[in-house]
Amino acid sequence: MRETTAAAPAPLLRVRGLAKTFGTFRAVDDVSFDVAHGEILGIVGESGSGKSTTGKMCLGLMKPDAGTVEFDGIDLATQSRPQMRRLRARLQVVPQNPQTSLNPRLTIAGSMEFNMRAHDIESRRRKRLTVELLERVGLTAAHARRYPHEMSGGQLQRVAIARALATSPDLVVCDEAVSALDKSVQAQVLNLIADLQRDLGVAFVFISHDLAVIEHICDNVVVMYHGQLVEHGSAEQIWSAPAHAYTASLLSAIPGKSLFKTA
Amino acid sequence: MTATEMHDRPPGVLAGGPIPPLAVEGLSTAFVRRGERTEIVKDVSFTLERGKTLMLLGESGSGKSVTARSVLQLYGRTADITGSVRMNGNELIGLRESEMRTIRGGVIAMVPQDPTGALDPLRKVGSQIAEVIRVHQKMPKQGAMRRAEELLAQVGITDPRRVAASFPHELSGGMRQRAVIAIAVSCDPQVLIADEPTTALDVTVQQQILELIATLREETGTAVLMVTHDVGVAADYGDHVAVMYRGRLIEQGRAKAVLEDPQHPYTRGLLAAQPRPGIARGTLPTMIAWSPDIDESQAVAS
Repeated sequence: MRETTAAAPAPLLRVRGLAKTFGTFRAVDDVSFDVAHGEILGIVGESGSGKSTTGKMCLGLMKPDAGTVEFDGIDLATQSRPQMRRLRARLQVVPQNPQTSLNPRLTIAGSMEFNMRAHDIESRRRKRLTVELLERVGLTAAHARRYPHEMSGGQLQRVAIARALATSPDLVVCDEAVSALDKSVQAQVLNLIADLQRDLGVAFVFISHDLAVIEHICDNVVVMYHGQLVEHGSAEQIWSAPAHAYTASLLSAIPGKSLFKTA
Repeated sequence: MTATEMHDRPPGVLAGGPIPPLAVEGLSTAFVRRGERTEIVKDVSFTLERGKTLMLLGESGSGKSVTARSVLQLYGRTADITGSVRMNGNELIGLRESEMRTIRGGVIAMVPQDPTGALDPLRKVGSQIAEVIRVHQKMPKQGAMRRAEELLAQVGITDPRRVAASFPHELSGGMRQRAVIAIAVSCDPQVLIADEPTTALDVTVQQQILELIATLREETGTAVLMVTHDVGVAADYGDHVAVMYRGRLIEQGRAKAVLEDPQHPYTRGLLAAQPRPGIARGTLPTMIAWSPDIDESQAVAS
């Protein structure tokens, strides 16, 4: 879908000094990180840590109070609405709950084509692409005619991913995209994200509260606590040698670590 | 107050050993809707031990919550519950609603998944705890309020007076769950049913709440039936585990035995699907949930 980028030093996403305050609550406080082309970057933290707010600002869906988000060298703050709309084709989102993010009155094809129409993909190509993408995420053309209530949570999350892929994005932000799923279904969706990263070179910002999921799927990890970035390292390092006390406390709170050795 | 004192029924005769606080045998729960009968729980049997935790483990739709709620007969006339649920040897199935009401919240207490939904948003936390004490223990209002503050301290709240005078929305999720646990343990229940008590909480708060339930259980000898979808929670906090799949209990035994050496293909699949270190990205096994290899009628005991 996208040509592979030669080893370019410039990151795909460059976040610097990001800050957002709601009333007196500092939701995000001086957060900086990069996402390379084709990288899966995890943002982990507990509720209220500012991870979702950071995700929204990366998508240009929320204006930061301070700091910049550069996508492929373009400062999102300088973009007019039409420019931002065009940019969104390359910058997609998979939200947490597909039951509420898909229009219940549209068929699956309807929801997917809605996104494609917004990005001026012509009609004949829309139909073909819908089937192609559904098959890409492990569904069939028959699913295109269904309504959201006729499908399971795991299937709907595949649809949300397929919809995000329709415009050949460079970066997809997944905000707790597997958190509501049963482990058996979660495993399928995680495998799918890994495939898309490998086959299409799509980069992901993967937001989750679940450190085990983050460790499994991400290359690098940002740990957030009370709006601040407290640690940034490789997934392996965060898991095996956390540098910050908060990361260590998150790790020690994960239940069932004795099973990891045997399972 | 025990169920034996409350009901003049003869205790059930059990072969050997002490009478368990809760013994469930051949429990089935079906819901009837527009003449169509759907069996959600199928022939489930398990026994709780005093001071021990049994983890009812399963994915959504497995029937684990319905099993737990059927013990307390919380479905009214919509559900057809058959089989046997014996509390200290006394049969609960077939009891009148008025009799069940003295058992619920008294000898068998429940901690629900969502503490926000369990608390009345318009009443202060202390008065909600005191209400339960007054219903079950016939205590005067003043005494019940004092007892409520003691209970809040017992569940690890450092400023019980302030929390007792707070509305639920003024408290964090973890504090609310502590308050709900205070309600549950207020009448010294012999059985505590906790339905995914930490699913809505952050992982560090989850740890505190699970530790709290374990401490209370050890101190009081209460038997705990905990519903969970999390194999990690089951492994760390369960003495025994019963795995449910499509309404049936397919495997049960000591937590360590079941989870470290699962015998049933479904349990094996569930464990294999857990993301964990050492599994290459994109290669999580996903055989469960639809595999024709899984015969849910085949139970394994280990």
